[in-house]
Amino acid sequence: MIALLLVLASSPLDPLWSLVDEERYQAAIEGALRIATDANATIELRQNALTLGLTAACSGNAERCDQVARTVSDWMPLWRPDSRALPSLVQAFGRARVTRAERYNSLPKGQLSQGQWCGPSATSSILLVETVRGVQAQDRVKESCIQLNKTEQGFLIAYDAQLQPIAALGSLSAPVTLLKQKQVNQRPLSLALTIAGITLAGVAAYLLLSDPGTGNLELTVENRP
Amino acid sequence: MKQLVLFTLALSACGQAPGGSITLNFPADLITNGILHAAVFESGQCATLSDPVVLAEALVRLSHPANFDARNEHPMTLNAIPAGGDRMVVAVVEQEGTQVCRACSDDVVIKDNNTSTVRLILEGCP
Repeated sequence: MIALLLVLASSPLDPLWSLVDEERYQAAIEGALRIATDANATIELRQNALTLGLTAACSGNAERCDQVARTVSDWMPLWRPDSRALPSLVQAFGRARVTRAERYNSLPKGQLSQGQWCGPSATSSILLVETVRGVQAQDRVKESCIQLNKTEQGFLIAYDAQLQPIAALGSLSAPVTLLKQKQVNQRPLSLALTIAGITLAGVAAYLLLSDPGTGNLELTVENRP
Repeated sequence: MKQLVLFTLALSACGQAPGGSITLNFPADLITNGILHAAVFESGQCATLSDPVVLAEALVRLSHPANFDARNEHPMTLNAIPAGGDRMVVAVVEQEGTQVCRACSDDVVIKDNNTSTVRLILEGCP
């Protein structure tokens, strides 16, 4: 039935949005993930399908909000939900972002060789997030290896066919050096890295120690004509 | 030196929000009956509340259709509010993009892992 709707609709996502409107969230999620994992679909369509799936997963009493949020966070690491989105969506996506570096640390590092990086054998696609002068750019390939060309610093992640990360090198907040620079430049860079690391650790420790925690508010608004 | 400058620029980008967008489909009643916004601000005094209220500056905010029950009440729950002693809570009714009425309470205390209770009364709403 869903396949028939997909064929008849002007956009493959239209019937899925209808499912969301009808509060048939599980069906919407399954349809969205089916499009998102279709390697022949355009990147834009796959990403739109993922955000649709996330909206469905975080609507009503849907139980897969965190799971889909992790998938979206992994597949589209530079994407962030609009602050006006569903609060449960924003919170789940925040949790996915916060735990992302930890999850990546437990993954294999892939194989970095001269001018290219390769994921494990199950790799379906690779994303390179290149950092140049503070600006991040993405390069996605449907291969198990990616050419690094002149990329000096970046973050690499390999996905299987189900969009799950299976290898990662570095993270968004801590891109790794992909091409070695001249030896003469290593010492000041190492010194700067050390100083920056100590500074970041100090700031992180301060923020953690000074965190006052959070509470809730039961608000009753009365309309008195 | 060049690498040091590049690295510093890269570090300065940490924490900056990358671009992104999401399409929101609001239910029709949100548009026709107006929107009831509840917002908790880090601090502030109701006597000097700006008009319109700048909801984007709130620590936590929540929006519901501006519908009220038989007792003319609308309960809302705001979660994950940073604890503090001088929070300001504001309720605003927005219709067709205009804030038509509001209510406010200041010096609200939010304690860690606790639930505070606040009652706001909207008066003169159309």
